[in-house]
Amino acid sequence: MSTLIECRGLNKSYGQKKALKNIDFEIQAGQPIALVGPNGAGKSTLFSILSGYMPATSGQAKILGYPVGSHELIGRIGALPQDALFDPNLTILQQLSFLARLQGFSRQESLAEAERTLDLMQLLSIKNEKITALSHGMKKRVAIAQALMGQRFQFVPLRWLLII
Amino acid sequence: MNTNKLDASRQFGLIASQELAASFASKRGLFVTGIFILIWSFLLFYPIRLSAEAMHNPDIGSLMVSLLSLVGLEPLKNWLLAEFAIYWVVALFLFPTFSLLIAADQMISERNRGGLRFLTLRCSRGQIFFGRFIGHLSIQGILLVITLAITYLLLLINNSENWLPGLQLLPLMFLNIMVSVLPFVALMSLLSILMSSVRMASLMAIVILALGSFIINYLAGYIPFLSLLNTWIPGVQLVHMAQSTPSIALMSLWIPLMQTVGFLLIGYGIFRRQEI
Repeated sequence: MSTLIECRGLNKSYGQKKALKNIDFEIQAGQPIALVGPNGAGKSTLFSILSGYMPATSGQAKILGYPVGSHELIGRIGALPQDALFDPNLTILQQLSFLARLQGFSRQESLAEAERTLDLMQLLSIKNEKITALSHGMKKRVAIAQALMGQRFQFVPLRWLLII
Repeated sequence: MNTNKLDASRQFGLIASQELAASFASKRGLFVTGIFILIWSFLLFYPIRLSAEAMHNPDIGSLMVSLLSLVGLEPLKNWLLAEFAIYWVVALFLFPTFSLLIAADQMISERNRGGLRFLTLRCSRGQIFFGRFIGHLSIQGILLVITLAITYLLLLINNSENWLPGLQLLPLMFLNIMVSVLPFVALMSLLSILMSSVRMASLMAIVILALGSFIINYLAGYIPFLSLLNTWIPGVQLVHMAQSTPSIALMSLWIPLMQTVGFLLIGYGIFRRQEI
């Protein structure tokens, strides 16, 4: 089995408060993994570090053998960021197809990929709407759609459920 | 998965073009652009056209020269192309001011709503930071080309025999004004990393530009070495440029170029490690 995620001596502090203290673990491909813990245990912090949203105070985190934030991981990880919102001025299709193009899809392919994932989420009919026109649940489903674009290694932390 | 097609320069271009689209799609972008068009329509068809006509007219030309001398812009009377002379002074100050307004939100709103998180897994932070900068610079470039083209059209209407000198002057004016705008956009790139709201970023830019020199000069009274910091105030060379011709003004461009590199390096250095 190959190692998907590896953390060694990972620490994260917010001022004096330690959110993560010396975290060591390894996750192999094919393992169903759930990260559970009470509020304030550091689950969000860990996922934010693994997704490259924030740097660790010390220690190292690797995904697919590469340090988090390295160029080799660009476009290879999918994530559903907690509470992240799309641009209220552009349509959903415009934004998803732009993200697909950043992943390497051509203009035509990106539209098709955006429509495919919106269809998966049963949101194809609102593809030309702006995000402000959607309900809270629909906004979440659009965010899931962006995480499913392409076939990548995916973090889908829906209240911290990790799907590999 | 299409990682085999990932191309750093393509992603950089995509970020820049998306910024262009997003700026004109937002209410703020449309409002600021609308104001810009209104101000320039007024300036081009009244002050610039009328001043140029006055400078061509020997009866009131001397009055114009006196007025220019009064505001320290006497060298403008030596310009062969009066339309461009007036445009030069107006554009040198208006474009940087406009860039402070339109380039203020390069990151702030998106960072606040968490939207940057959708991008950072698909491209590097460097591509986001510099792509946004180039996107905003492109907006300025497009507007500059439009206003230059209209001014050239005015020149052709008023003084068509000068079509060739006017045409030769266009690239020089574009280069000078564009480079002068660079540090203002770069300053907003930096402030959009540091500040938590667009209003605060704009306010901080005004404080730096309006009070920066005053504070530095005051402190330099105690520590003379600090007067060198004046070189880092964006637009410090603009008055000198306005009193020169575009070919002489080229010699001042090292200042905005240096400022731009400095602001961008600091901004990127912070953004690379910033929590988003």
